[in-house]
Amino acid sequence: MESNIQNRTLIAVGKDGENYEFQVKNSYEFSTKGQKLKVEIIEEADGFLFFACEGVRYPVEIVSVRQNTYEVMVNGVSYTFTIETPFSLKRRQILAANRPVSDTEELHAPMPGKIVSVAVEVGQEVNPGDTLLVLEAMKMQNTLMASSKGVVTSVKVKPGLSVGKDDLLVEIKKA
Amino acid sequence: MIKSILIANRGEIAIRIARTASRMGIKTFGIRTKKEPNAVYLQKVDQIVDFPETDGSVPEFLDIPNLVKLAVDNHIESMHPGYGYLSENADFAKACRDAGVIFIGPSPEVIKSLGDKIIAKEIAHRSNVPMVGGTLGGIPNAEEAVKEANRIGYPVIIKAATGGGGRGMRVCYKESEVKQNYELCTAEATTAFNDPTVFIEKFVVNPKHIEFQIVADKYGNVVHLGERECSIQRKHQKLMEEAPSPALDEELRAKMAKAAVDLAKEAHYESLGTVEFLLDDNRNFYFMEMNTRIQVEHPVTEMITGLNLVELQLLIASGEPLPITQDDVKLKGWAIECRINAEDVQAGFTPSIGIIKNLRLPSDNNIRIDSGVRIGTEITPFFDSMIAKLIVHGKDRNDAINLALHSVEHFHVTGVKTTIPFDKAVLHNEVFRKGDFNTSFIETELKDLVYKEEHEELIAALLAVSQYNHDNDFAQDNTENGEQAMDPWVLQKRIRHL
Repeated sequence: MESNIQNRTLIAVGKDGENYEFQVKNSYEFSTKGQKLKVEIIEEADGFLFFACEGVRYPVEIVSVRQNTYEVMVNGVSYTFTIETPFSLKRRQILAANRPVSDTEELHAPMPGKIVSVAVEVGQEVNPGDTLLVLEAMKMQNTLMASSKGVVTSVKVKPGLSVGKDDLLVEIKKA
Repeated sequence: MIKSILIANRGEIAIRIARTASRMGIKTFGIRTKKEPNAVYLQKVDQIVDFPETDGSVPEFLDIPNLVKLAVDNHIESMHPGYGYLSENADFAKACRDAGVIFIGPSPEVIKSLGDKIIAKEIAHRSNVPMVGGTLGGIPNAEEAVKEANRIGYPVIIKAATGGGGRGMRVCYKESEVKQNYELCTAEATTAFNDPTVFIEKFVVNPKHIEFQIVADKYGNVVHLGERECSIQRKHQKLMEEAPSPALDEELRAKMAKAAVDLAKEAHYESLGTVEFLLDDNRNFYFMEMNTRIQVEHPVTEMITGLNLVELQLLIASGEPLPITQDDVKLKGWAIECRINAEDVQAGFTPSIGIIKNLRLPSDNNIRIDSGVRIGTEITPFFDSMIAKLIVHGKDRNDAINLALHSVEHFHVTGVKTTIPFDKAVLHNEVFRKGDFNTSFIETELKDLVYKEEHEELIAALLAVSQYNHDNDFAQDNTENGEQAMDPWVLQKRIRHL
């Protein structure tokens, strides 16, 4: 029995702009570049998730979903795709073209850890490669450096403070 | 024989020690800390003792007075420090001895002289073991560090005198880097080893890192158990080790083994120990340091020798003579160890924090897994990131590489990211497979830090699309027809819950 569902097109856009376009027939039949791909999600008894494409099984994990952005793992390797329709992709491209270039560099914590020392203060001029602060994680000390020339506009942390991944640490107004 | 043992460590090594001690009829005690009261290692000991309430300024496994007190109060005969923490701390060994507790390792005097890399260099000098040039003493301040570095000539390496495990080491290529690295190094050495002393030596560019395992009893018998190849490193952290090393032939192996044994004899060494060497492109070797503890990578030596190093360590500590002679030691086959760390390789090996949601381990003949985690274990920033060691034994190097590859392909962890895709990248690499690599391998030879199968990205995109499709409008598109409209994802869930 053939259903009368309209095929729709979804595009997976990667971090570096690479994209894969799929025609969706239903939730387990897709095609790309004229090639039909039948997929199946298999949750095994011990809770492991496998994604089968044309019968080939891959160990996978859905790591996070934020709106239409999906981080998935295949064979333990992480991939992040934003899923767009042809219309939303076009809108995104137009918006991106008109976005002003940011004049602020934000230093975020690359990993959770403890601030060991802060080398800069508000108002200080910095150059690329200058040490901003030292972050200790898993007993290793990591020096975080400025990547642009500018003036420090805010320092959000002080030594001894524990920070989470992606916490804002320092802001620099680019010169 | 020793009758009871307090394991002053955690994770996989606590389990590793408990396993052998228990088999030898020794009663094992594990220490429960507030940071991980449900840790797996506590299941593997005969008795649990609670670490006392403290102000928290000194981490549990670095707290000498309290650790010794735990042993004394519970009438435990001996103390095993494992690796890291206090394993190479002479004060700890001495505090144990003063309290009448047998420290599993060399005497405090030997730890002090060898664990202190500065004195170790003097011993190496006396036993005619080749060394690289550098300072003979510790460096008191950053200004002195700059002066010494300029004298030796760049590149130089700043090292913590009591360091180990790759911590407290920084390379400087020019004068401007010395001051900051000196400060980072002393700070790291203080947190990790409780001793800020550092020294400087000439940095051998892109050497191979080769270490010899030795065992020595109190009767002066010293036996070497061959070498381990540890050149697969990132920022001085070993990530994969093997034994033997593809870089040595019988002649060079014999020369280096003799140097290691000579050094151990000169130091009046007693217990397990590892003599680390750098090997340059011209096959010159230099003494780097001697580690007076059991090493993370000890299982590769166990695989190719058939010996149990913890057992030997416990026998020696009990005052027994070595049960083997040099002639008994035969190196058989090839072993590889992959350290499985909770790290996000694609984000520059940053720690991956989280709860292990699921775990599936490979198993087969000649596969060994030493792990300190289970499903539900939380990976926290308090401890180092290693969650397991995968060790395989093959009949030759190629066989071992293929078995390691097969094993990591069947090693699945969800909840945290791991270094498994990195292990695959190394094991697939042609230069690695040829055996012609040094410590620069990851930077110079490994173009992609994670291994991706052909079409893997397409599969990932398709998975994301199908998940999106499932999460979004599909139900609306498909309202009028019962059976056909049944989403297989939903269907599967319903069937499971019938």
